[in-house]
Amino acid sequence: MEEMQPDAQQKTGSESTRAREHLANERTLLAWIRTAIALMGLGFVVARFGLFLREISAIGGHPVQSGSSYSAPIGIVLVASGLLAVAISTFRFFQARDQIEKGRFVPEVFPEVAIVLVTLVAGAALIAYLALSGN
Amino acid sequence: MSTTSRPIPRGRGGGEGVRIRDHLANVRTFLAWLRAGLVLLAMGYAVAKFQVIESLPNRYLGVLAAVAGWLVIVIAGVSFIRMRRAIEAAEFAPSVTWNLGLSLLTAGAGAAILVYLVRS
Repeated sequence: MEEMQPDAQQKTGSESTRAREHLANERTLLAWIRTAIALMGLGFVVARFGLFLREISAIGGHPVQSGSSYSAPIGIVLVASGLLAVAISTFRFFQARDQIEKGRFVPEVFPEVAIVLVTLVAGAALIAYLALSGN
Repeated sequence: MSTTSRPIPRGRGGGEGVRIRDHLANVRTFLAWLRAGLVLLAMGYAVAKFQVIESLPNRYLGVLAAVAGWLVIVIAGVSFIRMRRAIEAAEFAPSVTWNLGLSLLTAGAGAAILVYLVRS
């Protein structure tokens, strides 16, 4: 067992905690994927539901809501950020896997900060759109 | 518990494995907060948009929920960075403020929806 792990002396628990580290890494990837799916789902609803509402009010003879066309770009940005989250987190999963094997784990901030900033910008646009668009 | 001659550089002293798992757990906590904020944003959007005709209060409630979701995402980012530092410095202290705040917020949103459904 020892020759499979050249840097095992760095870890106090060595082999017994190695599996847990990799499983924790895997759970983290899955949490990223869930978050990405939530982002894509919200984006899809925002982009398509705005269109749906516009068509419904047109059919019903109500005046077409102004500003509804903004929902499409906001939705597209949300879906794109979900895609970005999948890409970054999958890269990070393999990077962390390697770092766990080597016993030199570096806690990253880039993926988290990137996704928070993109989501906050899209969220602010969504709020502005909700607050300002005339009913 | 560490008996190795090599000093443990960072973390709360359980060794490298514990430090790694602490950081990964921190990322998952951050993502769970982010999802909570996203769901609030989506709920606000749905509430504000679902009324094809009538009712201004709905729109304000929706915008309020969306703003709350946005703030939850800000809290997610800030506490992730702070927790990351605390893990490296072995200064972790459990805080209850934001958790209680989120529960109260969600309970408030649920109560508002309940009142709306019963009265309409």
